[in-house]
Amino acid sequence: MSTKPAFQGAGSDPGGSAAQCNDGVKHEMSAPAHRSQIVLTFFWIALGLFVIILSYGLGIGGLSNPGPGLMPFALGCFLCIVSLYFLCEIVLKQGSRDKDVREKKDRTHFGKLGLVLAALFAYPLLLEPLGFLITSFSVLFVLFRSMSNRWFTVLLGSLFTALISYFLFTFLGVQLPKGILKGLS
Amino acid sequence: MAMRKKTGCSIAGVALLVALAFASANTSWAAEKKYPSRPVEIVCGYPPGGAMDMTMRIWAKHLEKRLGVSVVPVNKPGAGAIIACTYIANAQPDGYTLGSVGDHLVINIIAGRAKYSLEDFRYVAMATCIANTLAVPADSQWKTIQEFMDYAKKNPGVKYAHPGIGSSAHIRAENFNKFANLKLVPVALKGDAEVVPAVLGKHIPIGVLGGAAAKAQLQAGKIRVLMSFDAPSEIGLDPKIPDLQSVFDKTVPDVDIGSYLVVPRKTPDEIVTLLERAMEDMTKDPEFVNEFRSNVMKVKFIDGTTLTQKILPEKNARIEAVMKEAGLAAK
Amino acid sequence: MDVFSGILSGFQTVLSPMNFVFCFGGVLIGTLVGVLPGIGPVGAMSILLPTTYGLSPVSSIIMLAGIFYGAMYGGSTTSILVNIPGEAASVVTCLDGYQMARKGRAGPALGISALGSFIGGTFSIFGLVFLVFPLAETALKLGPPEYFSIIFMSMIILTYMAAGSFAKALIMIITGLLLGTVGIDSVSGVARFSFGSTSLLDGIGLIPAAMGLFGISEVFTNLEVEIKRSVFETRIRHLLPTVQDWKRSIGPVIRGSFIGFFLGILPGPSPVVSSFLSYSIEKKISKEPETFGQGAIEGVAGPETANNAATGGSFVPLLALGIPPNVSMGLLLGALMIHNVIPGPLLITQHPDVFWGLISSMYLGNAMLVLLNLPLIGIWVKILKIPYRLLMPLILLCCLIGAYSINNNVVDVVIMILFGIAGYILRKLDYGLAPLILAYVLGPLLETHFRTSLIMSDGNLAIFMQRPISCATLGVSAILLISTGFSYYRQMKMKVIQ
Repeated sequence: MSTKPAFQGAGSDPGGSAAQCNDGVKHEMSAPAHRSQIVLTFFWIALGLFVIILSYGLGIGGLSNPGPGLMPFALGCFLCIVSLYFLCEIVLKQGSRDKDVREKKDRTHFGKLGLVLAALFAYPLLLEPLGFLITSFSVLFVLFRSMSNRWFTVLLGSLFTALISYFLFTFLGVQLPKGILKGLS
Repeated sequence: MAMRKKTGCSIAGVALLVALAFASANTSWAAEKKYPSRPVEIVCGYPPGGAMDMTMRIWAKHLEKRLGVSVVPVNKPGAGAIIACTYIANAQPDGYTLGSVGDHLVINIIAGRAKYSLEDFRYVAMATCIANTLAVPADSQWKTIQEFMDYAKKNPGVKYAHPGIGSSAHIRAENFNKFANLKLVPVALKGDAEVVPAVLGKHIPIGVLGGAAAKAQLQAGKIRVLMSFDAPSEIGLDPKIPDLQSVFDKTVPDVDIGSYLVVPRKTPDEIVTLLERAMEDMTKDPEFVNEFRSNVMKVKFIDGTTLTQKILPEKNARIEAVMKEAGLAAK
Repeated sequence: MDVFSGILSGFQTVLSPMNFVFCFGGVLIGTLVGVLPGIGPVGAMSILLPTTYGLSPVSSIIMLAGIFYGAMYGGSTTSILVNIPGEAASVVTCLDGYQMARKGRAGPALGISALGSFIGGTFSIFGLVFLVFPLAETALKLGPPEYFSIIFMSMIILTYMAAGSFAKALIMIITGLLLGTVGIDSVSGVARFSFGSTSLLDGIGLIPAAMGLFGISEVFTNLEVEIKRSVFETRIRHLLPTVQDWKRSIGPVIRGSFIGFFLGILPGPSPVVSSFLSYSIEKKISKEPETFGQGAIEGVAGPETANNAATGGSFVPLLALGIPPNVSMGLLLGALMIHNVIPGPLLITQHPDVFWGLISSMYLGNAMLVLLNLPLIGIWVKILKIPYRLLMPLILLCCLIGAYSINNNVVDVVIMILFGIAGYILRKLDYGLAPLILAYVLGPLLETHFRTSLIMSDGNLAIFMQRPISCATLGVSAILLISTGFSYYRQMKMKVIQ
């Protein structure tokens, strides 16, 4: 754990689990992280069951005459089995307090995360009705504003960025929706 | 400091409102001018590079000359053209959104997947057709279509490759299969790009190829075209190749795959007529014909009224019958 | 026309001042396109397509192909800088490239990526020129049963890249395979798991999913931490790869070139698969496998070389049979057909100027791109110094537009955001994301080829063993499986003993 640079958030690995999990030594997790693992495992089991039920309806066929539902059905079964095995594995290994900074979640910043998430979801919803310029401008405004307190700079910056990106992306062949600005071409 | 911030903010806000108002006012101004007075969008349901996309682009190029405004090709690929068709069906019926579609519009409805219905569209005209051929490797045991048909009847279950479920090639082949009673088994692949190697590599004995792919391979002597679904001379192939009509003595109707210009149903009549005339004019342009011929596609103009009243109902019924028999129609 | 005079005449055509300009222009636009995540070369190519109507076929190809190569080179830039895969083939570069950037080694990562790409591209061009027809003949011998066996074998090799808990990796693989089943089943035409949504009929887009899983989740993770601290170590150590880096990269680059080129001949997403395979193999044969995922330069050098080599390899079916390997090449073909040049087996004999001009332009494009990209490293590295509070909204905007631009469909944007949330949760809980993406790419291929083979054989499972290439490949897979099983068994024994 000490080999990780300090500014990495908890468990923020790019694509592969950290190598230190591969050393065969028992993993120690703090209680909240432990709980989250269990919750997620239940999610996998539920997903597996959901898939099994749905794919059965698609028609399974046999191994020499596979139907569209065969592969999802088999996968759903595997998922349930593996998650159940994993569940046993976690539950049997009692978690203990970890000395690491991991469980110290900076609760305050979840607000920022939520705001960014809302802005992100707003984008696809508003993009076609309102058009690229207005949507980008508004979302950029919210995003920049969430990181900085200077109203006017943020306003100008968002407008400027939206305009520049409009021209840049159109030049590169992206078809950007005009939305309510359809009159101007 | 705070005062300056506030004034700055309000000025920016007002400026924004003014700009928006101007923009929306502009939209209504534009509507009063004569059609067409701003760029027109033409939509196609397939990604760039394929036959349908090339069709749209060549149409766009020629329509531009006749409409006097720029015609912008837009690709909205996905779900077998359902996304594009839905987009066109829901577009403003002001003539600024056109669709370049094939029979996939109907095929999707029959398959039960479409969120639109035939009533949402108005067919302006048909201008071109896509060509398909039945081909085997050059050293195949079948030298003529008759040999193949005899073999297939004696050995039910011969496999044929096609570029995709519900594709024009698939539908036409199934139509042929049904009428000739050949009991062929379709093997679905992804596009001509997979059908050609499957046939050349002899993994599947016969395949339905698009015109362009067939011509290229034929020129190289790698395949033998047993039959062309369209009249070979119309698409630049050797006229000695039999077409569907000659094989069946004109008793079996083909399901020929046309490319149509469609608009939303409520588009005003004057706009539709204007577009129809532009399309007709376009199909008479020798440059247009040449470009399509080099893409191995057929140029054939049919006006909107004939299409809607005579040709389409009958063709759509045939497509539905073929799809039902092949198990592709929605239950 | 024999090979050497062909190449010479090709270079002559390409090096004319006009064509030089076209090549450079195309390459420049392509780099820009490639750097912006999600935006593919196809958009820019289709905008410029009408302008090529008036040009000669060789010039049109040079310009359009230049855009394509430029996009290939640029795709890894965002993977390394901000963990956003610009295209499917750059996903693997995120794994170690981004970690290198976080340690202040973005320069060497970008440098090795550019140079590896160049070497891979050059290698594949030479392979193309000399081996086009024999390779095409061999490729024709591969049908659905062989495709299945080869991909099956690849899957086994690819399991080496998983790290951490075995059960977690397995869950990720299964989930990836399941995600791949969403959409219209190409064998039967039945819609699976689309829940009535038209957009899901084509399945979940790979690029929005990858952008979300890697890029957006990274943004979320960074937002969680105090913003004042910089995300990247500000002391940039070197701008170019060191001698040490080179020594470590030579092997991966050579292996990557071979892997990429030969895999490129297969239909399907060969650049993606070869980049994954290269990573996996490098990790397996490395003496320090635990450095992979923490910034091992081999994890950048190999895959980047492989994916460029695969692009060259994918030209084999194009030039020999006239079959485009992907949408961009399809557009190129369309451009050729407007000029009445029908690509096919006869391209070399009927239009040797086009064929050799294309080959030479590939080489020229590759060379130009290295020359263009190396100085750019300095600029990219400076971008990392922009305060995160300014960088973050820009990154997000690029991702939003990029995801939209794939199909002009907002559903892709929503998918990206959802995968961003999923990626965030999965990373917090220590699940490796690479197995998910890779299973997602290979799963549908495995299933389709399996079922198609069975249709061909009327349901007879023996078809996989009856055909020699397939049988041999499956044999090798069995050996690999057994050996992996053995080493796992031994590992477990050691654990128990401890």
